[in-house]
Amino acid sequence: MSEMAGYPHIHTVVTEVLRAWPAHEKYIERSFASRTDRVMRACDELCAAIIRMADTVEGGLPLICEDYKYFSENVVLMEQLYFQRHGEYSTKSFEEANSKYYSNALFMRRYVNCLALSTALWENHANVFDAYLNEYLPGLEPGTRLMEIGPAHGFALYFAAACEPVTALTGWDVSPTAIDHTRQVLNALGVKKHVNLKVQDLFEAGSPPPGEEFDAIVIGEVLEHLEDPRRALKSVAAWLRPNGRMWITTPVNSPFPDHIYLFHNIEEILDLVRECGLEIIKHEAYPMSGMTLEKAMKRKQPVSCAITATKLN
Amino acid sequence: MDRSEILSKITELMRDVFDEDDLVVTDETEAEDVADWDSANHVRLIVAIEEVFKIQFTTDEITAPENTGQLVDLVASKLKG
Repeated sequence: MSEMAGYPHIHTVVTEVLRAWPAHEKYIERSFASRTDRVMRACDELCAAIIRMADTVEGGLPLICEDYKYFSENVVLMEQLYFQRHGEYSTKSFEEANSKYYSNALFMRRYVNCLALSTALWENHANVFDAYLNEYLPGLEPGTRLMEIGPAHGFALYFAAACEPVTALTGWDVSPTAIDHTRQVLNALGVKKHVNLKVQDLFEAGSPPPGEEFDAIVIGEVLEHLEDPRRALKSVAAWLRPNGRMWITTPVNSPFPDHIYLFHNIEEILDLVRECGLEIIKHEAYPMSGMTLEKAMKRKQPVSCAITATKLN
Repeated sequence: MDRSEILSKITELMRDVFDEDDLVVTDETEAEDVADWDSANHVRLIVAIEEVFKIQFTTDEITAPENTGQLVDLVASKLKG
């Protein structure tokens, strides 16, 4: 693991992951083989936060790594199998995802812990995180009021709180359990800025009162969980002030148990964003670990798409 | 279908799935020996084998084989039914 020399927090996390799951070494090697120093530094910061958060939960980092292994081997692999067999995601509705998964506390703990680690360990997720940390957040103007839709493991809000231009933070999620988890993580990480976390159904949020729009909205890995991502993104766009900045990420061909909406290619995602009255400033596509974009698309493997968009006057 | 025919067909599938036209496959070939043989591509290989041989693996069978020889034996046993 020579690639990890100089990145002590990545080294700590990877060492613990491989202790729980030795057979994962080949994947890890491929995932870290060609990362830039900037991506490595971003992931090292993230791993430092994960370690700090882990110190405050029962079971600590070893439990989080066990959850990552369990979820990857027993859940993600089965979803990949279904997807390759049938060409579609296994879950068809939000109600199905809600009844099968969102109400299962153990399942959700493993899921959230898996996602937290995957952000650093999976090459496509790491590249998205790097772009968020090193491109999107630094581009925000002083005095930014930022909202995240679906903050989940809380790390996007944590790093937004650490960003000087961001002065007010809000997080919305339809699930009280998810909001509680985000609150615990932000408390564990010692976030000083006030974060307004709220149980809020996006479709019932209506329109913002005049002057209450957000300067920046983050909606990461949410659209694929919805039956109608177009309607959802239109609702979100209503809360962005003109010329504000929205960070949108969603994957192509990414079978997870609660992924409902299948994007077949990047263009579908870009079209959807434009149809919601947003103008795309920048977009990038990041293939899964160890693959070129062309190969990932040919093999129907996951590709993460990250978009910075704005709303015109 | 005899064992060598199964190995030959699986070799073709492995060359396609792993994008290695010159891949040499023996009974002893395992994931460690093939650069692209990771968990995601293992799933693709399994589904390709299911389609060609018109069989379906159980959840346990998908991860059980430790090398190509065991995979060939598993396919042979399922073809016998």
